Amino acid sequence: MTRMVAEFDSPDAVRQAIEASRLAGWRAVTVCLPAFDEELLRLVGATRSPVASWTLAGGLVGLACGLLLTIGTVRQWPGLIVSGKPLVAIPPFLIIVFVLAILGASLASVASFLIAARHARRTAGAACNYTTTDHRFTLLVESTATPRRIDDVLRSIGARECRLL
Amino acid sequence: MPGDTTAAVGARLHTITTDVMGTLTWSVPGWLAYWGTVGLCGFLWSLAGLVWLYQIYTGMHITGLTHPVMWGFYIAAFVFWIGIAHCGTLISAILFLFRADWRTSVGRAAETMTIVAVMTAGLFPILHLGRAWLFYWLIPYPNERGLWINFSSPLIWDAFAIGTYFVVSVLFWYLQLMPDFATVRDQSTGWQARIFRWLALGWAGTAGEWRHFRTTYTFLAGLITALVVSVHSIVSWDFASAIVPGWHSTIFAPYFVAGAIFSGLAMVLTLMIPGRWLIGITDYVKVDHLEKLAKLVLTMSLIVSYAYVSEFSFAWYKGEPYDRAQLLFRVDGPYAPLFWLMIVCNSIVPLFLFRRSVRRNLTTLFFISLVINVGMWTERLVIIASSLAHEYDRYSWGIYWPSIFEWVILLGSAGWFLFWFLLILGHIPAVPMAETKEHVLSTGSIEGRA
Repeated sequence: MTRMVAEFDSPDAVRQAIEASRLAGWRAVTVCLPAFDEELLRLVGATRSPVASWTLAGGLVGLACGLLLTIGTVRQWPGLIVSGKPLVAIPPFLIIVFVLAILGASLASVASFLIAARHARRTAGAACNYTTTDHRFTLLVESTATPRRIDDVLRSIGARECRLL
Repeated sequence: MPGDTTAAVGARLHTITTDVMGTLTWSVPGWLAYWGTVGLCGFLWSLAGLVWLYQIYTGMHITGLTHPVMWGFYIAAFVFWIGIAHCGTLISAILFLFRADWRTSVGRAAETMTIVAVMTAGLFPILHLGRAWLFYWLIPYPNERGLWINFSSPLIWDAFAIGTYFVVSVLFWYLQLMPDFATVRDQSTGWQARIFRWLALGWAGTAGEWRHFRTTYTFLAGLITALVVSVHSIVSWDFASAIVPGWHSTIFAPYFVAGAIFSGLAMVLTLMIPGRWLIGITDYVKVDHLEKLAKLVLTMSLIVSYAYVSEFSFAWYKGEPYDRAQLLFRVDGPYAPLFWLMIVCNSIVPLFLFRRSVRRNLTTLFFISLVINVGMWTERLVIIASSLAHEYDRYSWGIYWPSIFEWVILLGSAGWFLFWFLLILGHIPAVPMAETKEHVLSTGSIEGRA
């Protein structure tokens, strides 16, 4: 199996290269981009992220922590001075619960992003280099074709450089 | 980018990198202006720090606080700085959700301002405590003091809300910086490359990373939008949940949120009009962007003015004698000059922004933004001091005027704010590079969609 990385100057050229790769029966594994491009991400199948599920889970954990902290702890302190109001007062506690739910969701969102991004880099990070965070676009192609054949096709579309991975 | 050759696309993206990277290296005049301003701000907050030490040594009596006005400059400054912190989120999160691409150029500065403003605001409740070293009593943790915090108190809600707002704001700010840190890492050498390699957390720019990045950014934008509305609502409930005439009003939450966004937008203008020159980003923060901010300032001014009218209409119409007395005390009492200053600064001067020529004249715009900052700070003081000075019992009425020490600490807080703002923004990419490149790729312009 040949894995080849090609560098391009524009997202349009990468789009053409992905289409040409598909027509040739090759697999476009990933792209490295200096900026977000929805269409290119769709073309290489990067359409799903676990971040949404983890954000929901984090929010629910934060919500549970908020309830536990407020209701659970004041029940341990029956002598608390609350100016004649009920010791367990749900409406004011909901403010703490809401804030902690947001905090839990945000922390889980960023933590899951860091883990998922690390995983994405492990599987395809070698396709990127110092130019792809600046102005270049790279495409990683996987195929059973010869390196020469892949090189020829990608260069005909406008690849500036091709290298084997 | 329709119409451009592929090489031209790469060249334009590279220009953005070199332009923004240029803000991390200084020419001699720029270096002197920048470090001179940072040094002056450092001096101001050091002076305020000495006054704080003096306050700790001698006690709170050096302030003007006295019965019945036990909340004064420090709490007004706290509310003011928390308000300033709200605009960064408006620009970065809310305008992102509405796909207003023009926000990108000023987004980094506004987000940095948010973080630094929360840092500044957080100092004031501690200053106000007097015995500042006991601030941790607000934190619920198992202890041997025989005390537990009251979760029904708005002051505890504040501690939770502002702590969370700070954490989420930092996460939101840092997340957007990661691709930019990676760009700086890859385009620099030596110690700068080493520092930015550490800060970029391994960002490479693969398709998977971008997908997770955008999902996370969108979720954080939604979460922080809900949070920003709740935080200033909670700050308003510090007042509205008390039965003090002039505070006990259901309009307080939207009134405070509108005021916060208003003052924050004005502060972005105050900072960015000279800051775009000082940091060297005039090609990215253009007059068009500042004009759009000015339009938002005008809109918020009208909303805040409507809130003033509503507050007074309700107080008058419901026929509650203490509320009416408070209203008359504000417009005709010892604090009347402050009240009318507030009206002029927040409701009248911004009306000049209806004229396009005023919105596009940066000197005038800078002056108007400064006036609004003064007006919004005055509003906080009017709400706090005049209400406490004139409650129900005429035998416990009294007047508060700040002492020189409080003025120095207020000035020092501005120094603290500007010191950290300039220090941070001068050492990170001052314009979001990746997002600007995204606009170039999708529309061919650094502004993105109009």
